[in-house]
Amino acid sequence: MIVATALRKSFVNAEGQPVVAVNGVSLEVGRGEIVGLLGPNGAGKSTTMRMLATLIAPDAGTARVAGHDVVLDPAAVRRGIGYLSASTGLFGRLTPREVLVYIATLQGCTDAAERAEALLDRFDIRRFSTVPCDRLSTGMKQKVSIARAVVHDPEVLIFDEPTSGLDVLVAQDLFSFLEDARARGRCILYSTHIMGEAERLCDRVVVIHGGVVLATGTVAELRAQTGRDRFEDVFVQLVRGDPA
Amino acid sequence: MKEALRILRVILAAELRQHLRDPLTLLLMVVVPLVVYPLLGAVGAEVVRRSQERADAQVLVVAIEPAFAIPDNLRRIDVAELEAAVRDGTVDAAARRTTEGAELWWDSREPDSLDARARLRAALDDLRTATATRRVETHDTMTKAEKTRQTAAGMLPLLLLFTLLTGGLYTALDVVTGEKERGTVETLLTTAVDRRLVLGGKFLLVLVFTGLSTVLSGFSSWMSARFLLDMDLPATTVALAVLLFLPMAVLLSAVLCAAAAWASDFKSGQVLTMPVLIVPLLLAGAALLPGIRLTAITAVLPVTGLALALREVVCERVDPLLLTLAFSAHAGFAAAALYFGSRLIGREDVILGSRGSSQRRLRGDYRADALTLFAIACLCLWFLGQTAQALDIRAGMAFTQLGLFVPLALATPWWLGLPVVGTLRLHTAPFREWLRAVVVGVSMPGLALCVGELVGLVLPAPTSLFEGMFPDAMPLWQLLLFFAVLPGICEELLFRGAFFGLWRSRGPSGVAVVVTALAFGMFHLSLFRFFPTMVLGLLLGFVSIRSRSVIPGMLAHALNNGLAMVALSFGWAVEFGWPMVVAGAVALLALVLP
Repeated sequence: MIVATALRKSFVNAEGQPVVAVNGVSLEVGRGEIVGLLGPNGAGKSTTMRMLATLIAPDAGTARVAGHDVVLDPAAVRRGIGYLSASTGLFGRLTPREVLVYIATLQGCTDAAERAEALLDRFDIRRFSTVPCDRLSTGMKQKVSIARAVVHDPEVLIFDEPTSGLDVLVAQDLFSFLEDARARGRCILYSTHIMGEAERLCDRVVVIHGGVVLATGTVAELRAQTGRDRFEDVFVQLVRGDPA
Repeated sequence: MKEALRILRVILAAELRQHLRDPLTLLLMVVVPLVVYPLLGAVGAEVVRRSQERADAQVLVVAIEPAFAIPDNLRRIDVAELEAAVRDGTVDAAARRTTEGAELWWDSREPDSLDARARLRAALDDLRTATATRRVETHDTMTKAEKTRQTAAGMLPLLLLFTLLTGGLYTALDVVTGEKERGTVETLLTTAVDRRLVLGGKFLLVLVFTGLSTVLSGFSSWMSARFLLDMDLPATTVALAVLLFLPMAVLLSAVLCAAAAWASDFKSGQVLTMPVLIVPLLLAGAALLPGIRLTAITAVLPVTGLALALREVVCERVDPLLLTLAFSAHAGFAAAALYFGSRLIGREDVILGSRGSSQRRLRGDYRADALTLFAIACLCLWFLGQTAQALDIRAGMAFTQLGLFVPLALATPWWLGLPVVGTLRLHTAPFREWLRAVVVGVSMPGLALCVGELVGLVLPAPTSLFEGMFPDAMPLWQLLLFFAVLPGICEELLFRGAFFGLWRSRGPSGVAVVVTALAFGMFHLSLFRFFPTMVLGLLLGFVSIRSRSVIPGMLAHALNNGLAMVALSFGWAVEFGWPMVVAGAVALLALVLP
């Protein structure tokens, strides 16, 4: 469902120097699988995910998402994915119901209103469905954002640090939704800083640092590879290359 | 109290630091308004002077008895009914003798009629002097109602434009810049919808608001005219006026959206859209000037053309051909603005990226700083330099060049933390580059003269253009020092040194040469000298590129000015002819030779 090969993207940094944010990243995520993208700040996680979501074009490399090439057929890719990140905002003057209907219509759903109603119940936001998004709490906003990302029931979910700023209860709701989506055969790429989340959710983990993939495998495989037990230690050793 | 003052000082210092790091804000909010008015004033004064010269030379038709002595620029014809002849335009003005003195008719709707009145008045004054105490009775054939309408017609384009811009400005900033800031643009871009459609939808919203503002203000001004000014404008006239303004709404909506998209945040959006607010209002202000009429040329001037067309419509002087021309030209401008706007907005870095000018500077882009330098140099020249030169030409020239231009050129790279010698390119050059500079410098006046001749075909320069520019009684060595050597060194340091050095921080050097030449042309504050000085700027720019140094250009510049001074000193008549064409060709050839 996601097959990325040697993706590369560079930007110009604050000193005016070109910086390679993603340097030959390859990864695969299959149907019914949650793959965690782990890395410190500035590792290239968000850039990789934005390329896969067709928001930015790769300088080199190829990627197929939901059966389509991200460069050749970006609209078809977007039809098949649900993308969520800190920079995808909500329309503050629209209500959650209006947001869901609006996005579902743009995604080509003929039953936008019904989908919106179902998601209001699924994410327990019906109580706030007539309140403008500007007036919702951070947790409620994030619930609406998640519902917005999946309103067209995409095959692929790309979630970039979706639990940042959320309380435990809302995070639990999200986890149960993702586990349910995996059970329904959805393909999920999930980035996080929180090792506990990766341990709990991810079937496999891709550790990325400096725009390069350092390691790929299940949590157990990475434990075995590093000889560390705590997953935080595993991560630190992979990134720093020395024992924590 | 003391502690509070300290905190206030700390906060003020931090705020100042942040704002001074945003050169675009400084440029557009402080410097541009200070530069725009002198520039417009100078250009406007030249245009008025030129149109006055042309008007004076034009022979106008009057109906007047042979007993009156009239100047050469009036032609006499006989008509039966004087007032009717003036009203229907058979004659520009008319006068006749009466038992008490004389009577004079004109039509203030027509600029030519106002001119004819002025010329006839002189003749009538002579008559009055000759015949003693006789009075002249004057009649304007334009009725009071027509005068009210004329005034209202001039104001209406400004009024419509103002409401259109204010209606569109906030909307564009909110739906484009604001949504970029709030992240909702990115949300929309994650859907399957084509990126151009997302932005097209936003443009349509801005268009709806600008269009709505236009229609509502059209309706409101119609009602006001009807009930407050007692002016009976037919509804069809108002409808036609609003229809005419639709391309304007499309054009300005596209420009507003593009400016709003270019901005990284709401603040820079406000700064970037400010010129979109000011420039069209100034252009539409032309419709208030009585001397400017709707012609095939003025109809195709952006904004001015439609404003004039609107004025004509309200005055019910409808020329379908000219109205169609103005409408089509603006529909074309609107289409072009839409095309370029959509290309700009479609760019990844524009719609998603951070484009703050402080970030641009950090990334080594100093183009905004180059423009700020240019604006400051203009202010220094126009307000300080010219004042000093008016007091004493020698001291004034020395002060302008050495006291203003050189410190500016040296201080700018230093202030920006750039290497001064490297930015100004104060390098030595090989012998052949000096040779090239000499050849270009000597032959450059020929090319400038050719360009002046070509421009003169479209825009004839007033005869008084160079009068009084150089003092007659100055010895040659002083002319050479103050008008050739000093400008050669100091202006090159400022333009091909500092301005070019900053502009070429991004993009090709060729573009930097062209932009520098444009700035150099504008710097001379004359509409008629703009093209020749711009061409000189281009040649000097290419001399500096070829030599990788600013110094050979100084020699070429000084030689060019020096030759003009020698010609002036010896009273040589320098005119356009084949030798000048050959000289121009030599200058160009010298630049392309290896």
